[in-house]
Amino acid sequence: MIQRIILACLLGISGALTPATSACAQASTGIRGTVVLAIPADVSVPVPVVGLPYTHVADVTDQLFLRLGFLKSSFRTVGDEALTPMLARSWRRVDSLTLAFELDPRATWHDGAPVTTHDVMFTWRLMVNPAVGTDHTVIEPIAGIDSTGARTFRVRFRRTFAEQLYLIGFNLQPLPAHLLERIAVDSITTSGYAAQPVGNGPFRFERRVPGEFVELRANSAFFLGTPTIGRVVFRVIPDPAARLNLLLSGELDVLEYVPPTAMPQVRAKRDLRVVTFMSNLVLYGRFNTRAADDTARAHPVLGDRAVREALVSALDRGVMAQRIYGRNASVPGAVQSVSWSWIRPVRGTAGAASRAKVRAALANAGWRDRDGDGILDRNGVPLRVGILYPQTSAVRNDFALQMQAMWRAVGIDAHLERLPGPVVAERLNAGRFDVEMGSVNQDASPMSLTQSWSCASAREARSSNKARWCNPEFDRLLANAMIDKDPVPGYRAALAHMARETPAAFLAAPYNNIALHSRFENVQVWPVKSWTSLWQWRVRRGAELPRDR
Amino acid sequence: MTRTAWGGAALAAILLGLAVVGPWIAPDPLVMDNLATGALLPPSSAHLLGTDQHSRDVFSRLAHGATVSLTVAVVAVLVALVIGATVGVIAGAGGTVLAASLRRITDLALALPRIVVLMVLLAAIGTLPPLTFAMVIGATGWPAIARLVRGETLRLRRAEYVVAARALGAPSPRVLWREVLPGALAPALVAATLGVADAILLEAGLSFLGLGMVSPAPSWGGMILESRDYLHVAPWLLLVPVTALVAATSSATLMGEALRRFLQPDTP
Amino acid sequence: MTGWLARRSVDAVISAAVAILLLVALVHIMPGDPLAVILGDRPADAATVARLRERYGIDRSLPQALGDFARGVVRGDLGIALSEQRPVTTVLSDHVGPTLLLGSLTLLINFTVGLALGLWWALHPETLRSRVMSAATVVGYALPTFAIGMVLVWIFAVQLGWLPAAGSSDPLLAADAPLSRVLLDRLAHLVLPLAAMVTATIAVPIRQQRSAALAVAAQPWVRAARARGLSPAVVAWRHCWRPALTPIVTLLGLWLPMLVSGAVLVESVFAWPGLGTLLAEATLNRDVPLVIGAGLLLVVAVQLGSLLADVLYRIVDPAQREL
Repeated sequence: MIQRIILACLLGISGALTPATSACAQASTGIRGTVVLAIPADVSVPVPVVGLPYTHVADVTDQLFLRLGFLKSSFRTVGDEALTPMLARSWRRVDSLTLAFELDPRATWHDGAPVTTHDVMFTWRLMVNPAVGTDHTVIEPIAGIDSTGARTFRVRFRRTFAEQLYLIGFNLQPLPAHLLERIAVDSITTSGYAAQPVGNGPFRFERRVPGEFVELRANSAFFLGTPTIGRVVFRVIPDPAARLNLLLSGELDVLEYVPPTAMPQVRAKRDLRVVTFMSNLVLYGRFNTRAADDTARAHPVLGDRAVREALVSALDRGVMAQRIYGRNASVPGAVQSVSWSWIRPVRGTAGAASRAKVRAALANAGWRDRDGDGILDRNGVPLRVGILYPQTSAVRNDFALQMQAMWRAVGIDAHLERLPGPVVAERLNAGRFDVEMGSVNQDASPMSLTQSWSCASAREARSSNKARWCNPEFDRLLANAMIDKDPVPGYRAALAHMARETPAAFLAAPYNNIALHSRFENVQVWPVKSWTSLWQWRVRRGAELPRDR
Repeated sequence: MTRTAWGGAALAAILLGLAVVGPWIAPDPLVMDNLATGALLPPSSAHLLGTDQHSRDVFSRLAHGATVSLTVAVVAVLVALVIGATVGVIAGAGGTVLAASLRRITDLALALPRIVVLMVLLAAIGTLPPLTFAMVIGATGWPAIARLVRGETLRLRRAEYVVAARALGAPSPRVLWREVLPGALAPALVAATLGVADAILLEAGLSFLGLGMVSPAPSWGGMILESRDYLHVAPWLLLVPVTALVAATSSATLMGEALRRFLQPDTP
Repeated sequence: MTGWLARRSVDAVISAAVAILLLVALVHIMPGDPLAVILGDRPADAATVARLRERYGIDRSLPQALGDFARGVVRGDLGIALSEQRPVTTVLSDHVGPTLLLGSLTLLINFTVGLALGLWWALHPETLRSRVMSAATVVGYALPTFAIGMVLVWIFAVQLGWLPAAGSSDPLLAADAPLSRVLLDRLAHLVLPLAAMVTATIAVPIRQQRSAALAVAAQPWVRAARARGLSPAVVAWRHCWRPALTPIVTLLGLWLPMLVSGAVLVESVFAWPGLGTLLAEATLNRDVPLVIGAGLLLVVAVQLGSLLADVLYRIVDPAQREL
């Protein structure tokens, strides 16, 4: 049943973003409909580039600011057809290192000013300013942007790779130069503009009540079509239990990643339905391969691949994922979310090996219980691993507890290190940890693997490769894949290699079970930016609630 | 002793028994023996108090948690009471430079809300094992008691029996110790009995904020906290630790009352 | 009195200053990377890190930080909150209202209903109703605030649908709605958090008032009044009431911190946009300017509260005036 729903969704997504679908034609009857969503923290600066780099911030800013283009239904990030035009009307390849873009002449800012190359140039200059702290893996491959006219510009790349279009087209969200140019970079976030931003997207900023909600209204002059949703309210609800309560009490229209324990209640509500969509979430317990006190040396326990393999085989990952995400979460073999399914997935083993088998594998690696205390040891040192993760994440805590229990069952003294986010960050950056219980919203592009798993990133001080995993063969496979015209086999080979090397226990690549009010039609939820096509949702005629009118 | 005091003592004996014996008879609270189908089971003969979201035995968690929570509570309250009463009486006696500076230190310590002080303190120190954690909680609990004791001391210094004792020529420290302290301690004891719950609740709140102690065994507060997502499917996860917590607090309160009557037989 | 008040005020200022100095020093030694909140998962090069550290003032030594803080206080500029990227003063003023509203109403109920119940309890010892009261205060106090909140929301918002489940106002209410509707909406959102706060805290004034009243009732002048044939109610009103206020007034000075402590958890359960959750988040995020700013606000408020309590002390208990 669920599989069929997923299939329906995947098919339904194609064409959702084409501007002139029949959906938009019907919208002439007038804008109506209110969607109430929850975000886990306040968005005090709802402006891309200068705002904070979190998913919930992007959830809001993506309604206000367009990208040059958006991913197509396949979520393939490679090639010059990877994107559907949004703010850019078209693009063409000049040579292997240059792409020429033309902005849509109909595009305007919410104050009526046209969107021009000048805005693009301004935004690019802002992105490369160190005070802004843009992810340098986004800006590093780009040599520069040249203005070639009022609405045209060229992007120059430092090297040839298959995802050039994706890199700039998806990651550049122009800001209005005419409103921001006179403000010093350090003052943008504290300016009046940040409090009442002017964008160019399907919704315009209405108001924000600090700590409570952000309200957006439909931009009736939106050049890609009139939104069929009149009002969007993002309520700030940090507590997951409170979010569920609001959904059940009818105060919230949409809730993502509904836990399986809440499903019976959600299904019992007649005006709610659960739809399963793709997700870009991956959870893993990443093994630190380097010693904590000296990152030049291998980790005394986890540097050994046999030990890592034994640790993974001790986990019943199928049951773990099912307890937390329900029946349709899969166990990935490498770091691969559901949204990367255009690269055929490398599956992991769902079940655990027998305890005897795990113990035998560990004994081969020298770990035996010699002193009879129930904990394995080698050279008098007990097999002890810490599981490090931030205290805010309930899901990571659940996974960490499960890992701890399953590892203890085979004689590994696993302990939890549930600490405040900044302390976790500090320890990760310094390499002072054994296992990082991680949860990432994966980038749409597998190119992002270079950020977290390459030898180059292992050498950088503050890269995402906290475990300092370095495997030259993986790097070679990844580099080959990136420049290939059809990179899919290459990426697959790289991921398969990663699966063999076991740099982490990959725990779950869940689908996104979304509960939403049944009055909405034409609902699409995107794996990378969930609410991209929110403006095209519709309220079923006759099913309107008072808040829709 | 009255019936209620006996009741309180009996309750305390049961809980302490659970804390001392529990960890020996109950299985390992971290074991998830049947994650696939054994989670969130209601109470049964196999699991007296049911299982939690990870198929762990709730009775086992309660028993191991008793050790942790009661140790934390008792140690924290004792630390707070000893520091608080000493500082309060000396500050209330007045006259000396010591008294004046203690009063100021009390006021200063009172200037910051306890949970905020603990948040900042624990954030700065890092996570701690239960005993040290309890001492830190206690070390932030004394100012309230000190202030209460000081207030009572100030009042009692004017009370007839104290004035009389002084008029009879009893030396000042002796009056303070024999006549004022027992009277001044009464409200402090009442506050301290409530402090048992305070300490357990603070521990729960701090672990809620991610600043709890490092302990392999669960605390009652932590159990209550974890139950929040399962309130609708497994209410026993909330009821079991809350019942234990209320029992612990009630017994402390009842015994505190008895103590008060013993110390101040004059008052009803 | 004026001389005493002046001395007491100087004391309060010194105490506040010392508390803030300690806070700044403690925050300074906290482990953890404050930039984690700004950078999230993004990798960053050395230039970016250096620039951001400078911008948010986390690259300074303790003496420098103290100096900057002192200068900032004078100018009314407490820096920029990392987690909000807005001035600390703006962030604090955004969140102080809801906390004051919830806190002052809790205080009001505790010091009216709570005191009345405490006095009533003292006057009716050893009856069935007083035992019920005793049990209720113990249980109410022993229940974690967030557990009370959870259960209340579950019953009244999710199951019955009578009251909103979270927040301090309805975001769907138009910004220009009539005042009566706005007030009604605020009230509806207040009921459950207020109930949770009061349930968890009212035991303190009830029990304190009871033991104080009992202590006073044992005094000779009260017994004399009883002996004169006055009814218990009259005795309570005329003779027990005023002396029994002493410990209560002591408590009054302690109430603000207690409310903040309760607020940290209640605000989280009800997504109440107040200072409690803000401060907790700020500490966990190592949002140094925000922690110090919120700390300053709290210390000043608490010092004012305790000053007020001291003034009342002297009014209630004339014997204190000689000190």
